[in-house]
Amino acid sequence: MSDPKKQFEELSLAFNEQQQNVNEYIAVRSKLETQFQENKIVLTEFENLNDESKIYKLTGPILIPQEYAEAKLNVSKRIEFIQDEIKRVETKITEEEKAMEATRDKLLALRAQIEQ
Amino acid sequence: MSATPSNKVDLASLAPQQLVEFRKSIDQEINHFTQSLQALQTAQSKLKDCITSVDNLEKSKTENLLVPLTSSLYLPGKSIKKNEYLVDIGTGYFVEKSANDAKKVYDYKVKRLDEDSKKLKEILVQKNELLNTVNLVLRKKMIEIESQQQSQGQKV
Repeated sequence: MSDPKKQFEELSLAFNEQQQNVNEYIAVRSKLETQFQENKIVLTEFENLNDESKIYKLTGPILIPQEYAEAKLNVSKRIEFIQDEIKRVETKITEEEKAMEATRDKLLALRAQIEQ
Repeated sequence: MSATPSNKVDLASLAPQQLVEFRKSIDQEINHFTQSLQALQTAQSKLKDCITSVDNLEKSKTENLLVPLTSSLYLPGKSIKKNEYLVDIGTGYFVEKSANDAKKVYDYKVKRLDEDSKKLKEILVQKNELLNTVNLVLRKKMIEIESQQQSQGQKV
């Protein structure tokens, strides 16, 4: 009798942990979305500029002049990177959610067993 | 209150406890959206401040101004160029722009925020309607349960 109960506790702990993980990933996902949107706005702004525009990059407390092409490339690269990150985190979320469901099924089965 | 029929059937088939849970989650969503809306409005007023600043500087005839070192310490200064601004376009990038172009950037941003606020407000209205229907169904259920209990009590 004590064995399934112990198992049950372990499983519910695991379930809680998985739930927390999912929540963390979702927070990361929304943060990435914010960055993605911001960078997209910057890129559309760059589309309206040309080689003659003077562009500066804020690095710490100082502004450093930067070439138009370089700055644009930087932002495009960053958008690509963020998109990859979003994909990575999303697969992690689905994985973790699947694991959560599996644990929940196990928990329900075990509970039925204990109640018998 | 007349919600869509399918919606009503769904709600009516739920247990009171589920309804309470549902209401809680709607409440949370409404809170979240209201906060977002406020954030949008603060951002918008900041952008509008930028536009008025550019306007004011353009209008002023002297080139004298006070440069803030801190919020309570200023230094008299002079603006050398009045038609050259450094505009923050986001993620740490600044671009040199003329007064008109600078205002264009801010106007565009204000417009975008306006659109987003409108969408948010629509969602908020929908959510509030949903909350009202849930409350209504919940109240009906409570009355039903009470009358059932009463009739049962009379039988015994």
